[in-house]
Amino acid sequence: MLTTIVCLPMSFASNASEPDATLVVTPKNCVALHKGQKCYLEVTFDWHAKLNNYCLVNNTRSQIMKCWSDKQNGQYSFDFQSTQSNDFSLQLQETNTDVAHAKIVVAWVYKSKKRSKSSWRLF
Amino acid sequence: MNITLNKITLAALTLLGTSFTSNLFAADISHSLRNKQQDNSTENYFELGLGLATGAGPTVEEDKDNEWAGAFLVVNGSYNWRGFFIEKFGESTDPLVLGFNAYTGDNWSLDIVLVPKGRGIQGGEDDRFNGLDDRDSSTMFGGRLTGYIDDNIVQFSVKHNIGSNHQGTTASALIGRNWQVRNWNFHSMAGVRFFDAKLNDYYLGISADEAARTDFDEYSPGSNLNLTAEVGVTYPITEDWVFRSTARFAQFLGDKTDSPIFVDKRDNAMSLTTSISYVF
Repeated sequence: MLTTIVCLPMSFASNASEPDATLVVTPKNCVALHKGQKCYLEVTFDWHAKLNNYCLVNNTRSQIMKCWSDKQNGQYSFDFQSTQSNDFSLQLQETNTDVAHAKIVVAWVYKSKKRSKSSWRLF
Repeated sequence: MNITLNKITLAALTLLGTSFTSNLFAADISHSLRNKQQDNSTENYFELGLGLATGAGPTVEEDKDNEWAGAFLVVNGSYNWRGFFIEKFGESTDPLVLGFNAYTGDNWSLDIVLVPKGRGIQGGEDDRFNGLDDRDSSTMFGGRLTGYIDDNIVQFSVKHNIGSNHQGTTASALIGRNWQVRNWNFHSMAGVRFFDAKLNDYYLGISADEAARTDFDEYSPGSNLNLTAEVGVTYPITEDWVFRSTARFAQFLGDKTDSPIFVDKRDNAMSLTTSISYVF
């Protein structure tokens, strides 16, 4: 039940050079307990665009996730694991031009503040 | 099984230096375990929630099963300001911990703490206690040293009663660790706590005067040790909601549960708690 609550479908989409291109990631929010912890989330990307060759790219890590040839839509699922929010884009393979963007937001319940270190306060 | 978690049940648990939630000595390290950061950080936060608890332990009421269950209010939080801090972690029955962080290094932290200890039985609270003196809450003052060694947290604590209640002393040594399995945060802890005879006698003893005016026999317990173990899990449901579940066990060494105050004199207690809290 808890997983279900966390994974309530949410979407995020935008487009750049192609007005009709969409890139949607579901779910888009990953919640870990403490700031700095790695967050785990099973996510699925869905994209639609004009018929062409495209790649799904993790811009935060400069990593190509998957590429498609002569497709106008596609889907890709993977196990997201990160300590920070990640930006993704759907790119035209020939020009590396972004045609749509999506983001997985990493959030924490407890946003800790650091104590001062190696310091005596009293003695 | 009792379907209530009334004041007398809580008083019985207080008498033993334990509670259905994080007990007095476990609260600090439980908080540390559940909030362990690689940078030994702390934070300001406040959360409210609801929980369910069930458990078994010695009883102080006649005709009561030694198993109990009930709902409880979760009030957790901590606030830190220039080394001073207030901690409340323990899901409703734990007293506050007021303190001052005297030293924080890469692996060790030393706090000076002031801990209100919960009250015990009250003479007028139950017919059975008529004629007994109130075991009021008391204030314990001391230090707690917390070490972060590899993936373990160790905590040593010594506290002495200030004021005129009993002048008793407690000391504890605890070790725990936490680990993350995807977004689930598990922790385990084991430890030992010492209660001196003065403290035990205040909460569990029967004085000659009390014995003279009641049916209780005179009784004076010695010092004792509590052995404890705890496992728990914390899960972030959303950015604002947290789920917790914890199982605890305590074994009371010595003769403190032989006190005439107890009806059921079993020498151990256990509990299982589950809660959901909103973090502000």
